[in-house]
Amino acid sequence: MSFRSAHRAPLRVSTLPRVNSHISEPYQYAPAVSLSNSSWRFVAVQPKVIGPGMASGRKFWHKGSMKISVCIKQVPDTETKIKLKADASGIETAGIKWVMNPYDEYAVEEAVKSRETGKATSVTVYSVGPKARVVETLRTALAMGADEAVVIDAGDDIDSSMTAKALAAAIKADGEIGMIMTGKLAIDDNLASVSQMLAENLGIPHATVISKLEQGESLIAEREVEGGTKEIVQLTRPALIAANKGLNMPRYPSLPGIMKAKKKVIKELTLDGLGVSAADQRTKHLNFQLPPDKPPVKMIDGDAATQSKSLATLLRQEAKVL
Amino acid sequence: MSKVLIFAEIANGQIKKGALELLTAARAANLVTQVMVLGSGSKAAAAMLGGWNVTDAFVGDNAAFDSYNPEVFAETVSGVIKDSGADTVLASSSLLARDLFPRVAARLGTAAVSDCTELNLAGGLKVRRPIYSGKCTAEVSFLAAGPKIVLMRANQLPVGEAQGSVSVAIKEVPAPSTSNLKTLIKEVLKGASGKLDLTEANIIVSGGRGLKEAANFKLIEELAESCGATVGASRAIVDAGWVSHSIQVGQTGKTVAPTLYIAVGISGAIQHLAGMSGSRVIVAINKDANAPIFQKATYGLVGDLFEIVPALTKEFKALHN
Repeated sequence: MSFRSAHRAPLRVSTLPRVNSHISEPYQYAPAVSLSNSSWRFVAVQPKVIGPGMASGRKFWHKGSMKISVCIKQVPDTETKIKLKADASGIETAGIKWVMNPYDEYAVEEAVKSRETGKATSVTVYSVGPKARVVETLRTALAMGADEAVVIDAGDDIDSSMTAKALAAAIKADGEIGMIMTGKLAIDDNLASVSQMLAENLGIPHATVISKLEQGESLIAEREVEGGTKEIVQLTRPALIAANKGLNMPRYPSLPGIMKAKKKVIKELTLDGLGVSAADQRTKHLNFQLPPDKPPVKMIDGDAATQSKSLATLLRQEAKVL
Repeated sequence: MSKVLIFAEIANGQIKKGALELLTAARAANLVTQVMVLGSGSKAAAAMLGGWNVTDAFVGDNAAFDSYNPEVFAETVSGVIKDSGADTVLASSSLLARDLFPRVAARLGTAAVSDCTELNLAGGLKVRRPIYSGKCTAEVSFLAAGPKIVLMRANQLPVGEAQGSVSVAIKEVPAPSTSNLKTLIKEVLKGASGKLDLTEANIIVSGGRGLKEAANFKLIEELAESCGATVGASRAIVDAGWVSHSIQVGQTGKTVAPTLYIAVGISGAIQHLAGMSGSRVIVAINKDANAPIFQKATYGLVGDLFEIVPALTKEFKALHN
């Protein structure tokens, strides 16, 4: 079962949320997250409802920018087989199925939903990587409802530092920052570092592993920490939020969305143009290896009582883990 | 010689196991080791580390460090790293450390590498980590001149006993400034279980769809109880709403590497395997002999989990008595 088919709502084109659908019902505020969960005790900042005379269509605002910048990464699909290059310097990229990093889907969804509910004015997605390939993932984000997309052309082997520096420069160049959304980690390198580095480069606060978010004058986020403990964090805008599973249910791109996304021009930037060079690289993955072969599984036969007795003995005497 | 600073987290006044693993590794490599401990009770905890060749301890024995504020910690920890003159910083790859150190690295112009599974300190730093959902591993080389920050996955290294005792010089870390903070921790909602987090647990018992219904998860809890394990779950039963997402193992859940992982009624989708295949010993209990989980398992039991799990709980209880 692929990740996409498993975690999203079934595709029903007729019920997909429509872009700007909020304009037809400007007086109703639908909270982005349910407040009914008893663990969500912090009282959210309530958005201001705007009366009919106010033409903007947005239901509340705050002093700063209401733009959301979303950073996404294209990664190999989990089910893709990985082959190493002959010189062990990396993986063979030919034949790989590329998808949007699953956590980034939550970030895109949250941003698009925020614009639809009047909590943001526009959504721009950014991605760093080989241009010819990465634009496909940016188009997916556009089809989900993002307004604009920016690709920063780079090789597959650039590190988190270079990525964070390039993203910071690109986002800064696009004007005042409202909120930045990312996924909590990318499933390919599993580093979980670009979000925090980007926030540091921009001098803004960050919160990662976010499963609930309220956007008002400030941002109030629920963060999952160890042992099921949760923290309620308040961030002064502009701020960066890194999404966890549970924040929302990412939508499938709608057919009209896909058609519209095809026509959009994706802005192209280069590392050079953003002032990023090879000297900014601080780490390199090398000497790739496949995991060692596991010894074959030892099957334990018999009825349940015999199996259990044998297993307990093996765990204690052979594996020495009990 | 390499100068190492270990960021040691504490829980209930005790240095956590992940930090003790790193202290043991640094001692084995004969390195001059400094530690940094933050939070109430850290002074007493740090003073006990003479048995690990710790010469200096940077201690912030202050309740302001009891809850994790990224802004406060980034400021304090960057300062301590600079003061320590360390060329290598080690920490357990906890949720806190994974959030904190990339920001610290960006501030110091260096790099932090999380979730490492192999660490070699003798004769120059060498680390290796799994990537692409554990389908391969790679070595990481540090190219920047600044301190190299390495976050090690828990349960990868042995923990030694205290040996001898050097006296630990305590250096007080100043209380953080709390004015003009852009990050406020409004509330901390403690999890129901006082159990270890999955990422630190030594033994994990996980349940999946084979349990048939939510109420049967108590079988998993009982088995876990009988061997001092933490409970985990497959995505299927998290998505079904039987258990909280905080205990999900696998992609979009947690990556774990306990000494013993017992998978009950979990077929072993690649997304699940991605999160647990680093476990040392894997036991699979499943009625389907062809379930992919058996390809990763050390021991396999084909049969009815509703018979096997209670029997196993009984055996484990007997072992512990």
